Amino acid sequence: MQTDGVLIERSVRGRPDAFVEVVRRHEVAVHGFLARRGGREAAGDLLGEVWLRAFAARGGYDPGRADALPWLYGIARNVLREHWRAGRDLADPVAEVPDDPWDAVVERIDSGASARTLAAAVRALPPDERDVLLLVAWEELTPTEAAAVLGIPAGTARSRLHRARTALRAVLSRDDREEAGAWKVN
Amino acid sequence: MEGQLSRLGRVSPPAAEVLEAARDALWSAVAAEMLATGPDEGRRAPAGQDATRSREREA
Repeated sequence: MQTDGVLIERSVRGRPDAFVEVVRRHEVAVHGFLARRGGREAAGDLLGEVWLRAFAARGGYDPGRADALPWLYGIARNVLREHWRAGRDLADPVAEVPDDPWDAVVERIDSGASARTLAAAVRALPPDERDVLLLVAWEELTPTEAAAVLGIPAGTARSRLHRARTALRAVLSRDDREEAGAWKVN
Repeated sequence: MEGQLSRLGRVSPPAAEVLEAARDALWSAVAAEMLATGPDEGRRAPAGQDATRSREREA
């Protein structure tokens, strides 16, 4: 099987249709990325825009990179941020532009108490740390791949991930202790 | 914790027509580029491609 890098290079060199195979390989994953952060409806609306942007930018892709998924996540992330900004513009043109409306993500999570605790803990993380954490936990990227998506050094991604995990563990263990205390009282 | 976090991010797979609609948008751009470049021009790099890099690969 040809790598994504080979297919993208072919698409640059006179076979633009080769790019469609790259899209077929990653369309479910990129849709999932968009749906987890923007909701399913927005994901459906934005997916075509991601492909168009990626197609237009493919000349700058390094064909030595076998897997194009981190690159596509980076493009999807930019499309999503512009979508959020546009939404905010419509609602309130002078309001501060949000980079990551995590509240909307949490609203989509319907689950039990522990999931809500975890969602609240994720919400409390600095956005930079949350970005890395969710790329690793949700998209199953390595810290190095997450760094490529975000355009940051791999070491920075690793340290943000470590801080995020440490913060979440602290919140969850505090929650467990409080729950155990409540059982004793009852 | 990682398992709980993964469950928070679980979404159901997209409908086939959602994926097809997005691919259709791409096909329009692909077709436009194929029409714009004739058979001899087809090997020319599109805008954004580094010309030096292209020459190096062709050498």
